[in-house]
Amino acid sequence: MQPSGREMQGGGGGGGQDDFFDQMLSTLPAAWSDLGSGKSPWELPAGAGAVSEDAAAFDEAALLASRLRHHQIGGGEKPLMLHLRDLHGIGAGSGGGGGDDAGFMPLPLFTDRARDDMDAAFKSPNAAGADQALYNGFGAAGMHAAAVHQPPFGQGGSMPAAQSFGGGAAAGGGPAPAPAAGAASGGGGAAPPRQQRQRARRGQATDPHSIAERLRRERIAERMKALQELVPNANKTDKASMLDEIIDYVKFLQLQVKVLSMSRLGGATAVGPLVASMASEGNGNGNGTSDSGNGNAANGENGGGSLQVTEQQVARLMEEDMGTAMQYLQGKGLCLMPISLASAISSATSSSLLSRPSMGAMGGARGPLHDGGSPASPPLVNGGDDSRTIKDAGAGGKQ
Amino acid sequence: MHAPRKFKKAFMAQLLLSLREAGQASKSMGLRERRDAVRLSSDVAMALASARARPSAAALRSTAWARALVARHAAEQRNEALLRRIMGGAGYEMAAAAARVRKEARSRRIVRRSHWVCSGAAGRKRRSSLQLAAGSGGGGGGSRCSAMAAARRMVRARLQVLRSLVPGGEAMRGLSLLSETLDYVVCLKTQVELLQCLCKGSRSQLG
Repeated sequence: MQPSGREMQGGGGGGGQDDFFDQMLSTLPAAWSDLGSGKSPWELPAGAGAVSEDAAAFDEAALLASRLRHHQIGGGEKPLMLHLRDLHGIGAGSGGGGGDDAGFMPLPLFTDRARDDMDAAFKSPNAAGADQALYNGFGAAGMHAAAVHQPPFGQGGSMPAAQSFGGGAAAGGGPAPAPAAGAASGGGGAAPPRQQRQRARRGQATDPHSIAERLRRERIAERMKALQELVPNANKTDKASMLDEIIDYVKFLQLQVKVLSMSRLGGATAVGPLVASMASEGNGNGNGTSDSGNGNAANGENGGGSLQVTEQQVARLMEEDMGTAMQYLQGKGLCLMPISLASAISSATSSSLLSRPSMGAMGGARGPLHDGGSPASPPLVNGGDDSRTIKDAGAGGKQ
Repeated sequence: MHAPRKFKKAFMAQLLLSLREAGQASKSMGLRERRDAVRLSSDVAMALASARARPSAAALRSTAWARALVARHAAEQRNEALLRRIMGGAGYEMAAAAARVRKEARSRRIVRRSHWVCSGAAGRKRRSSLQLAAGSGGGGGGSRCSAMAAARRMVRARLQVLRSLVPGGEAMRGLSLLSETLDYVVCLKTQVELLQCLCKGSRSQLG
């Protein structure tokens, strides 16, 4: 059941069992070379610590799924390190007993195997072999790390296990850096490239360039993760689309700041073309509270000149169809109101609007906007209009 | 990573201060100038607050985009008086100096980068790194490499757009660009929230 589950995930993620396998292979030895260079595996996942949702996923299937999910953004190395850390977590976190054994049970099998067996396990392409090889691969990596770092496995249950692996680790340590170097040279699937990869890997395992580059890639992945949490609508796994979202979000925020700063002044800047885009964007990208702010600002943005154009437009639309006329008005952030109400409002606020003659002109202009329709036109469609004028008066009063 | 409380408070305080400064001067200004003044004050407030509240978080004394933002505002002559009042004379001098230095540095870096792009060594390095990172080899490696190359091109184009968006980002490489973007997005979000609070506050005050 479990192998088939992994198989399905492998097929779904990599677009083919072999593809997934290749990807796993290329990511696998990456961590090994790190281990081979003596770095603590706890440093490596330190950067991955941000992805805390996988920390508790001791389940194999969950780990594989998370790896698939994060593969493209994580660049492949991080999921592996997550897995290692979880393995270590399995070994060190649970106080002996079932957890340890479950984590380290395949390892005794590994120590018994010879070196060739491990290679053979890696080379086997079929599903069961792949799973077992993967698991053994992880087991080897964990074991290797266990040999390098004894203290963290301070549990009584795992200590003897780790020590017995010490012998196997020596045998595993040989091929471990060997496959590790292959990541730098781009591992393949067939046997002859694998031998070449072994030779090349050994040379490049300690290559400072590849290590530095890997570090750099880890950091980039970490930043992308943080950005992903920050930006809404960030369920994209692809770097490029994620960057797209980020760019759109930054543009949106900048626009919001601009509009908000304008609305605080109630400025009548002629940003007419901005109004339609603002309305659509503001409604679409919804921070709910920003909508009213945008609507208010949109009201404030119509200069006197554009109002007449709007009037004519609305008059024309109303002849054809009332509904579209109303929609057009709403899109502009305006509304229809009875003339009596409009005059009442403008008279109520005219005293404070005297200091801002432009505001008064706009309040007056809104009256004629209405008389294209019947006297029994509907009441305020949105309250943005009222509040905007009041707000402007308030802002004027404050200053 | 959401903005800590202290940052928000510092930002808000600075924003109010700078707005007050702007308000004092703007009796006679037109509306568009007012809008620019408000924007400028809020930007400066953001930069200052981030610089002040995050010496522990960031390795630098202040983040690069903050300096670039302030420098960008300082470059325009008409803002000089306002900026001077908000930041104090010394701060303004620093910003002006930073603006000049930044321009030279930026142009230098751009020139250097164009050389790097055009040179053959760079092309070879990029090709080899592509092969390294392709990670497929074997069969189907050719198509995979070209797909990777296309993906890289797309990513590069988007990074370019991002550079134009984030202030001070023209002269930055991938990693620093991403961290700058992160900071900048956090600050923009705080700015928007604070401005909205101010709006709502001023609106509700009048009923």
